Amino acid sequence: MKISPSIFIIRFFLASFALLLTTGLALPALAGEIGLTARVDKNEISLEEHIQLSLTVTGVMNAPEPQLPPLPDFRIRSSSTSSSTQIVNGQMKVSVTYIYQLIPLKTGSFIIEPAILKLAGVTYQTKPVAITVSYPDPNSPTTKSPAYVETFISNANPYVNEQVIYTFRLYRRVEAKNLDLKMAYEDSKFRKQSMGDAKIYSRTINGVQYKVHELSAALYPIHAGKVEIPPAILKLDLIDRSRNSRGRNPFSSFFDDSFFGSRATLVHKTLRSQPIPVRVRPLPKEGRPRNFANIVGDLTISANIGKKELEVGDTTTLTVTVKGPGSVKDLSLSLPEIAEQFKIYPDQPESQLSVRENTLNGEKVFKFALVPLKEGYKTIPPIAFSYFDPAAKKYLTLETIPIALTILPAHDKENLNIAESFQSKVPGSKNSVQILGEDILPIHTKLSDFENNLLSESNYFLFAGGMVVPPVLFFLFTGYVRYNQRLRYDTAFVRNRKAFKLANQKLKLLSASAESNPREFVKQLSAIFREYIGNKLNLQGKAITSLEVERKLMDRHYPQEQAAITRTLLEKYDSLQYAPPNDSKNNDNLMDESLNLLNQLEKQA
Amino acid sequence: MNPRTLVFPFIFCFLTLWTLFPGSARGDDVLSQIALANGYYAKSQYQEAANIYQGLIDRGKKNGYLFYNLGNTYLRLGKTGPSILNYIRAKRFLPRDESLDTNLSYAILKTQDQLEPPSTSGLSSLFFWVNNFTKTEQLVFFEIINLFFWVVLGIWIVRRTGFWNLTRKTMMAFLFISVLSVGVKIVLESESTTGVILAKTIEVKSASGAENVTLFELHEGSVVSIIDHKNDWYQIELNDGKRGWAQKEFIGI
Repeated sequence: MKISPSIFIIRFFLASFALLLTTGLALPALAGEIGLTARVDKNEISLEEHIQLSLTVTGVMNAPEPQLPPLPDFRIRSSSTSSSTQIVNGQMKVSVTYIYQLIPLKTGSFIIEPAILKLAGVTYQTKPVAITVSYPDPNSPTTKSPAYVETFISNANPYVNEQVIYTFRLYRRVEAKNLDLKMAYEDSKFRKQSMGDAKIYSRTINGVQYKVHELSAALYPIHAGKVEIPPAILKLDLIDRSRNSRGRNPFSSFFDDSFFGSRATLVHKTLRSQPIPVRVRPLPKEGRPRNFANIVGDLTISANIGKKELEVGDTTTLTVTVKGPGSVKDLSLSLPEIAEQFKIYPDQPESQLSVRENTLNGEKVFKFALVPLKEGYKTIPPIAFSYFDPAAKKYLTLETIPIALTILPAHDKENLNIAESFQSKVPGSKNSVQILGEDILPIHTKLSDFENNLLSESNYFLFAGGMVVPPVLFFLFTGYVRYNQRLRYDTAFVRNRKAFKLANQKLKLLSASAESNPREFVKQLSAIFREYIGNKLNLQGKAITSLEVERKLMDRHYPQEQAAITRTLLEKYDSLQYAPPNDSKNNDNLMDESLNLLNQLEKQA
Repeated sequence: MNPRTLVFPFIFCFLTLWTLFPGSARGDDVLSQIALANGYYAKSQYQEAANIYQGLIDRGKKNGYLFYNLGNTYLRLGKTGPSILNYIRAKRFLPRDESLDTNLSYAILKTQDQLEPPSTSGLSSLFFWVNNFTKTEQLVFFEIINLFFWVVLGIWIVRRTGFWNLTRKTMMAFLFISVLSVGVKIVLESESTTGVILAKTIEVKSASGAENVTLFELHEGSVVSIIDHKNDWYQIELNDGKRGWAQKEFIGI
């Protein structure tokens, strides 16, 4: 039996609907009760690790996110969601898991209180979870962690103001990113001086090669007593590159290449060092010199003079340098009593720091410009300062050696110019011109400059003219350009502009020709006049009727009276062509009448 | 009427205006007077020279070099107040004259208070070039730019090429800047009035009136800003912000 296409399509849809209905009836029902559970991946962790807390909602689809309990002892770094659907024996199990990464902030035992989920008026909650956070095991970090940190100081029993080198080291076996280091210290108990950027080098420990990042700073204890340098905290992301397993694949060796990529994940870590106890010793009172100014270190002093033989009024520079590991930045020096023999101009001291063998060395340079006041043999006595040497455990006084100078009489016995800068006396530099007096510059004598300026401010008319004339000229020029363009492209405009002139010329010719035939005279006069009208109105003037002319003129806003007179004249031309006047006087009258009307029309135009 | 017939009269008028220069102030008499005064100055007859220079100025002759010479003459006569006043007047006409700056600084150093002319305001800092040109120079610059702009615009009307379009826009930018400069100059000149103390010592009062409290004293040659006036009193301000009232008769502007 043959089935028509329309019946086939109907049957197909019916069959599909029936199939959908039967399969729909067989859909699995949601199985199980609604529940909320909490799970952690480990209960005991160190400060350097983190916990993964998973909250799973079962038995309901599209469940809202459970409400986390307050977690003051942890920092929630990230969260994610996963869902699963299982159909077993026609029973469908759905679950949604919310995953949180918790980073401990301190050590101790903590309880993660129940998380809560409110659904259709029913409250579901998890069971409490106990967590223990401890310090990382300092004895065997290398065997466990891909990265660990340590801090140490150069001296655990320093004196007040003695330099202590505080060093932080990061050891890592894997790549690391986003390093954020906090080397905390109490600024009320230490003064800190940076020692430059971190050094990076390799070191092998127990056969394992580590990259080491080392950063140092110089600390100067401010007070005596027990102090603790808190743990340094380094936050970083370690890159875990675990390759895809292709072990049994014959092509695995081929694909086991970095070109084909490997799975890299970032593992966030917070690494902490151990706190370091420091016992700061006070500086001894015994033997403390009167001029002691809290300078502690291992220092040296030296002095040199620019020139040892000079004249009265001449300048030389005394340079005193104090250097060595220690707090030289705070050092100040003054010259002994030589003010009666020399004018002294102290320069601003310059200090600089340098790192040598993991020690911060300071150098401070004092410069004094000395101008001898009297001739003779003079000696600059030793310049001294006292400091405390922690290695020798006693106060020491450093002195420069005395410097002998020969002061000659001034060459020309001039008065001493005490304002002269010692820098200008650098050998090889030019002497500046000595100013003996001051005066004003002379008057102006060029007479032409006294004439009024070409444009004085009083010429407002000219300024106004200069302002206005260019735009006026421009607009005239623009009008001229447009006029020329119309002449070139606008035929109606050209006809209109030339109509009167052309008509006048032709009328003069007609008058001069003294046409004897009145009929011909009227005919030509009519043609000239109609041509004028045609040109003015951009019409084919010779073919239009007098009524059309009247109407067109009125359309162009000519006065009604003029339009009527024009029509009358044109009709007169027509009638005279058939009944011409016999005498020339009539021709003249007609000519005058035409000219008169022509002039009126032109004026009106 | 054909527009062509209008163009030529305008050009004629324009050219006629420009050929009317120089103005009526030009005269050999003035120049001979100046030459005479210069001669007196050269012969150290400073009072005679000052009388002639001052007479010309009183007759309406305004010229930067005339003010400058008068400033020099007063300084020779030991009158630092009138000297500084005339130097400051000269500066309006000769903003870039180094001799003037030198002598003005020297004259200020000779005063007891050593007060400098008022420092530049925010507006003149923004339009930094304005102080280096006189108002007349800026007006002339504007006129030239104005002329060029309209000429270029005219050419652009008939030749609409990329080059002339760019030139037109450039000239428009210059025109805008020059108009702005003139405006700023006018504003600055109208806003700030500089005064110079002409008396040996004056008392600056807390309000207009001799009965008010004396705030501070100023001496001859001190340069102040005039910020207000009431009857016979000016309200003045120093560079450091001090304000007070002083009698008009002791201050030259």
